[in-house]
Amino acid sequence: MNPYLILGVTREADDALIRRAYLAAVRAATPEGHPVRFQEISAAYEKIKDERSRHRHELFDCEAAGDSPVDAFLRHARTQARRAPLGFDAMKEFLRASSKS
Amino acid sequence: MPSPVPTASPSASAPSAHFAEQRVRTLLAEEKWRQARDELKALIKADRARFLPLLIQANMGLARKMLAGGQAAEARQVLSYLAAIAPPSELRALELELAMRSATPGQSLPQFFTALADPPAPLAEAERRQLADLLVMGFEPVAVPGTTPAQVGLAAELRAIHAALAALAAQQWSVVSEQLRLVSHRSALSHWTVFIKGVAAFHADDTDRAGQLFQALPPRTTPARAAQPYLVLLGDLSAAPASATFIASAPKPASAPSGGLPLLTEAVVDQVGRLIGAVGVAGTLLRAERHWREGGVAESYRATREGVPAFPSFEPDWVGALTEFYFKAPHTLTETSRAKLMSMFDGLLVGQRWKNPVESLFSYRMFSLVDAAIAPVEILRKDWEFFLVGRRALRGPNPQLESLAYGWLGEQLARSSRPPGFFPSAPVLRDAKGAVEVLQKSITLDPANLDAHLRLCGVYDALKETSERNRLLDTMTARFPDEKLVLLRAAESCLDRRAFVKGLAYLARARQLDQLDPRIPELTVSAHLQQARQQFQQGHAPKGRESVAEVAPWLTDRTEDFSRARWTSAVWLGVFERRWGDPTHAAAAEALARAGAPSRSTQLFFAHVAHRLSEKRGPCESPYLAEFKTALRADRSVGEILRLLRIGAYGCAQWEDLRPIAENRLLAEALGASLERPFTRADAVELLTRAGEDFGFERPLQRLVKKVLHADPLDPVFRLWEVTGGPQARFHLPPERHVLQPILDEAIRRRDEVTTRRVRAMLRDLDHPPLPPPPDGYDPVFDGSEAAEAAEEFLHPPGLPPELAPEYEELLEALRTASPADVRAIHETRLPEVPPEVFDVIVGIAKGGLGLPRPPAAPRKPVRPAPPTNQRGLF
Repeated sequence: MNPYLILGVTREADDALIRRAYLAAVRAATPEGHPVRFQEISAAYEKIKDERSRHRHELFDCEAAGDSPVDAFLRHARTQARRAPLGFDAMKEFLRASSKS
Repeated sequence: MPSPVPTASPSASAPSAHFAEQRVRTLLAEEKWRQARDELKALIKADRARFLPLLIQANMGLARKMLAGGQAAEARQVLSYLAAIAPPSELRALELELAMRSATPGQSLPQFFTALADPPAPLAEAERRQLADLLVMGFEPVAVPGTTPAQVGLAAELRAIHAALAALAAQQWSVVSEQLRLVSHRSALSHWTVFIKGVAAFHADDTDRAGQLFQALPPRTTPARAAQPYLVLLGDLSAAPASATFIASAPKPASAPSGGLPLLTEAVVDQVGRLIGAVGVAGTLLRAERHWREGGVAESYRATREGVPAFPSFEPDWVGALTEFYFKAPHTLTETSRAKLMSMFDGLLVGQRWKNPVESLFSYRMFSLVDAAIAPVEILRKDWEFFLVGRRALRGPNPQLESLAYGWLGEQLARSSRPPGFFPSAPVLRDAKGAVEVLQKSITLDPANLDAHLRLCGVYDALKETSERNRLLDTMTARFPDEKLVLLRAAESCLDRRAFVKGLAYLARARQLDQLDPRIPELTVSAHLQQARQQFQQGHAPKGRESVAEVAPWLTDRTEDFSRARWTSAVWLGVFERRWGDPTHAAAAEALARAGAPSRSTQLFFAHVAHRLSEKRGPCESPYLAEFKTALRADRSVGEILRLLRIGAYGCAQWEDLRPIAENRLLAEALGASLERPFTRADAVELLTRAGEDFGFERPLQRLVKKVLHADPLDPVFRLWEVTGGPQARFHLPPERHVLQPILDEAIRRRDEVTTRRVRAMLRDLDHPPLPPPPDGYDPVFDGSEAAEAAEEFLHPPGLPPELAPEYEELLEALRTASPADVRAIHETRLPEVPPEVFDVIVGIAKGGLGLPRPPAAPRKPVRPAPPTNQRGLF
């Protein structure tokens, strides 16, 4: 999984910003309350915590992003969708599309 | 697809009617209204009372689907037909729905309020919810159309639901709760509160609660449909309708784990996409998915490439996620699928048909990483450099990243491998010159890249370019004064070139950085002892004694720690004194060593090895050898032999040319005699590890294995040794699966991880496809001259390292003295791959006493007084 997405930072984020995002994320997902999410966050932080790690990740990371295209899409969506709810207009469109499905 | 239903008739049998009803009910459950209606039209002729309610249901579903799809006129036609077959009370909700779709929401609102709040006749629960959904989905500002308390209450609840949805979008969680409190549990809108709470829980990472709330939604309502993509994202795929027709016929995906993702419907994937702003991608994604699952990995990539304009992309969005997926997939795909995918990328690169720079960039990176171990070095280097050039063009220069990249390339080029051939030979680097070049480039790009320095140091070591290595180490100690690894490497280098004072200074600094690393005191002791040896040799015995005394703070009472035990330092002193110093001092040191050593034979064997290490000359001779042989005869036990073998291993670690062949022969004989005494399984296992591949130990180890298996016939360690042939393992065909499998089962049962791993690796090797059969007409029979040539080649193998000569001499010696039966046994066990004709010639040569002709002698170099440099350890 994309560690930047898990921590909610851009690729341009520096060490301090990434650390802040990491601390905020682990505060929200404590190891006791959300063990799986906590592991995901910790692993993501290890991958991009400093410049050297970020370079390593960009150059050599070979971890599978999914088992199939839809699986990769869903894994991405799982993290991305949680970050913020849809805006009101987008929510209306989403509900209208749901009612037609 | 269901098969066509035979036209029903009054004579249709009860079982077939029952079967047809079941199928129609399945179609209704799957919301395949039109299909269900068509089948029911035929069935109703047979049994009107039984099938009429189902026909009404199918038509109502169809009408609603038409309304949802904006086909109001068609829905009106269905409604007209329904008016003829269904009671008017059942159609009220549908009529209202039609009215709402046909008129503006403002015009139809009063009818809805009346129908929901003050219905002339009670509505069915499902119909109430359908109407409530339409009311909410209108998203109109609600003015109270009626005056009854029920209508006023409903309007307030509707406003609360809309306000809660708006607050949810604005992430005002407390407002969401406040608004939802205004909606009664008995309200027709109550299922909307459940949905909104579920969405809030989803975004609060409370996945359990979100899942429970979404699953509690009444089916076929808008909130239940809207909850499906959320449930999919929560991992609950059972909630999402899957494309059953595809799953039934789909082969196992190329890389999916068993029991993987069911193929979701386009509607669900579309809804998931909407949640992350990826609208209209479901069709492309499902096409790519189908190809992927059918093994068409390249077609899958092409479908995505053609269907998604921004693909492939560097961005951290869903397109970037798909890009990452495809370009990392070769690392996990099966061999066949990987070949297909990479062949497609190869075609794109060769034809320069890449869609955008990101595609070429990722392709070069993927080829480099996937083929790093097997690609020809020039291709690997070219691909990796293309990747770096592309990256620089796309994202700007980044010296640190490029330094890291070149460091990796240097590591790949510096990988060592053994040249192919029957006879083992020294490993060689893949591309030593290239490795040095790219590692130097890596260091130039980022002088703070410690890994690149250490790798380059290792390459110089492997190339035996000691002056370059020492120069580099001097630079490293200046650049990384506080890096323990650098200090240790520098200290080792100093010891190699006999710069003991400088080496000890590096070790002192390393100790300040890490007091617990055992390697630092080991090297310190080694440095002092080497210095002492040099001083003794140069005639400065008192200084030598002082140097030996310097090691005192680093010594331990652990008798098995041959580097730092008190008795071993006394042995060293005794060896130096006896060789270059004072015999009286030598006797005193030896007495001290004898008192501290675990046994007399241990002390004498260590002294023998220490003598050989300090002389660093070929033959197995020392003043201690005769006495050691006597002591060994008196002190034979498996534990003792094991300790002596450990000392031998310690000696080999200090000087790779020690080659204790004669010593091993002595130990092998002693082992044979010691097997009469009891020994532990742990000792036996260690013996197999330490001596299992030495020819001299073949017979005693066979006896040892037999004894262990006599007591425990299933012991997996010893069974494996027995079936692989011990020291002859490399000359044997691997055991067959039916032999290995029971050993694996037993190893797993006993939780013996080492043996389990070994046997699994052997089983994996068995799975490799066999070599192709020889071409037709190939006859492996040798005539006389061919046999002689083959024997000649066997005895004079091209490139036979001189150090293997003793092994061959030993083999010829065994053949020379063996009885005919033993000769046959040697052929079967040690040289089964040598054809009989060739073996006969070899035996003839051996019996003729010709021995192994020596390889041509290398021109002698002038002997330098100083011992060779670049040798690790003591001397």
